[in-house]
This record gives sequence, C-alpha cells and structure tokens, in this order.
Amino acid sequence: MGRKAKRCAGKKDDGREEKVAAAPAAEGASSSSSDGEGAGTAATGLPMANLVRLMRQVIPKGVKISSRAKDLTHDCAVEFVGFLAGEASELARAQHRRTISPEDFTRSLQALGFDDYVRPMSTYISRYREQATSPAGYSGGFARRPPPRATAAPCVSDEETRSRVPPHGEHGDGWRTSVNTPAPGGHGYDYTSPDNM
Amino acid sequence: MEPNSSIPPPVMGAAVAYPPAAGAAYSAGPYAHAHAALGALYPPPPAPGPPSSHQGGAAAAQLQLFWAEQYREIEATTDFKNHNLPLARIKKIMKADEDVRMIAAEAPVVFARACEMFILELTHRGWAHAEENKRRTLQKSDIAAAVARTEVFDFLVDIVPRDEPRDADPAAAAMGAAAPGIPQHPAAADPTTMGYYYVQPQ
Repeated sequence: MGRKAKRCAGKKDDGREEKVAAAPAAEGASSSSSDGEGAGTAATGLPMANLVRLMRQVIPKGVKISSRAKDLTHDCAVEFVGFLAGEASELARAQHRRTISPEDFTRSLQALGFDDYVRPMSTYISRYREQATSPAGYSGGFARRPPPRATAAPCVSDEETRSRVPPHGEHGDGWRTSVNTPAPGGHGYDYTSPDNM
Repeated sequence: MEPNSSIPPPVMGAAVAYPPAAGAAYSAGPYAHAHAALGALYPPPPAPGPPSSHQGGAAAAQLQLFWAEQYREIEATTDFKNHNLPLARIKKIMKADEDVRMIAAEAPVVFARACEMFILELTHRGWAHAEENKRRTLQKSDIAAAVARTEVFDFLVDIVPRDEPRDADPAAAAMGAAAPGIPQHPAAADPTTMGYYYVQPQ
C-alpha cells in the first residue's frame, strides 16, 4: 500500500511539473516503479515479435538489433502505456467519470508533453469512430451455396433392351429367332415353323 | 576572395558558363537547403567538423519527415481491426495500475496505436545515436541515449538501467564538446541534460 501510494505520488508529481523531475521525486518514482515494473512485466507484456517488426520499420535494412535493445524498448513501451493510462484515469476522475475515454487519452498526451502525438491520435480517434458508426464493409451476412446439380444416371443398352422387350412382342420373337439360328437343330425347327404358319 | 582575384580567368569563365547556378549554389541559403535535403535523403552521412552542423539540421529534418510520415499513415488507415500490437495485452497493461478501473471500448485501440508510434520514435532516435557512433547494430545504450536526450521521455529514466548512464557519460561529454561548435543548439538544454546526468550517479 505504501509503495503504491509512493508510485501514485511520483506520477502526480511528474504530471504536475510537466518538466524534468526533481531528484527526490525521481528517487521515489524509481523505487516504486521498479517494484511495479517487476510485477507488471511478469503479469503483462507485449509480444516481442510484434515489437521487433515495428522497430525494423524505421531503421535501414541490414541493421541488427541487440537483444538488450529489444528488451529495453519493450520495457519502455509497457511503461509508456501504464504512464498514460494513469494520467488518463486521473483526468477522468477530475471530471467525475469512472470510464477512461479516448478524449482523456488525448488530453493526457498533451498534459505529459507528447505534443507530436496529439494531432495524429485525434485524427485516428475520429476516423475510428466513423468506421465503427457505419460498418459499410458488412453487407449480407450469409450467402447461400448453390444446390448441387443432379447428375443424370448412365444408360445401359442391355437395360434399355430389356425394358423395351415386353411392349414389343414381335421384337422379342425376333430376338429368340436370332438366338436359335446358330444351332443346326434349331435351324431345322425354325425352318419348319414358317411352313406351319 | 583572394583566390578568386588571384585567378581571374577561371572565375570569368565559370561566371560566363553558369552565372546564376554558380551564384545560387555558392550562397549559403540554397546550398544549406540542398545539403539538408541530401542529408534527409541519405541517412548515414559521415561526421567531420563542418558537416556536424549540417548533420544536426539533417537529424531535425529526418525527425520532421518521421512525424509527417506518421501522420500520413494515420490518415491512410482504413482497417482498424488488424493491429501490430494485441489489444488484450494493451488492456492488461492499462489495468495493471489499480487506479485505472473502467476503460472505454475504444481506448485500447487508441492506446495501441500511440504505443506503436512511441516504439517507432524511440527506435528512430536510438538509430540516430547508433549512426553517430558509426555502428550498424542498435545497442541498448542507443535506446538509453535516446531516452536521456528526449525531455518527453523523462518518465522512462527509472526504466533505463543505471549502468547505461556510465556508458552515456562519454556521449554527454561529446555533446558538451559539440555544443560550442553548434551555436544553433539551445544553450538551456545542455545544462539541464548535464545536471540530470550528474543526479543519476548520486
């Protein structure tokens, strides 16, 4: 509790002065911040891959980054977010609000001297809200898939022949005659049948 | 002036050949501007005596270009769903401070973008320091020097290890030595920086 109080006091001092912190304030901040940082680092952190990808955007190709430089940049980024969040929280409280809004954030940037950030972030907030208000990208939730086309069943000549045989009796007889023709005995019988008819 | 007068024929020839270009090139304004532009175009210029002032101008120009680029990217942003930094992590960091209780849904998005800009600026300034030392590897001391040199980054003094200031002392000394050479550099900043360096060892 005492340590946390010191940390808060340190932050407030920094916010109020808005300039180089005095020696005692720095010392107090350092002790409490180190404790808080340790806990913060253990509990929360940023993915190192994303961090390195960002760092490489502003340095020439082929430049190497030492592991210690990556770690230090990571710690600075985490401290930056916590620092701004604390200031934004205080600004919200000053106006009797419990929720931190983007406006509190831009005001905290200005209060803490990040003048170069204020304009870009204000623009970013405006554009973000425009995009959130009118989600033009979302059109037609579910697109139905076209039904599969029915494939015609293959036609078998034998089947066709068999299906056609019953209605056509003569054709059937012809078929039988053709079957009987190869046999010699059958041939004789076949020859006799026409005489009978 | 004497060399010009001592060699009148070449001067006359040069004047006759390119009178306006030569005059414009030789005058301080256009030449300095051109040099500044070239400095901006080529990141790693050498650091002799006279170019040191130009290098300072080049560094300032580079930083302005950096911020102009940042603003351009912000305006060009159309996809707010994909972020370089995960919003869940940002939210956890914000809530690490017990004072921070409720956060609007839009806040982590804005914080994430600001954090990106911070990382880019810190890396950019760190790289400038590495270039001054003619190194092709970004070191921890470069990040520490960037923090020490930037007043807005004072809240990070606790994060920067105490060993680094010792390494940074030569840089501070170099800055002190360079200060008289660069009259444009604000005199007020030097004492503050030096004082700050003295406070840390205590």
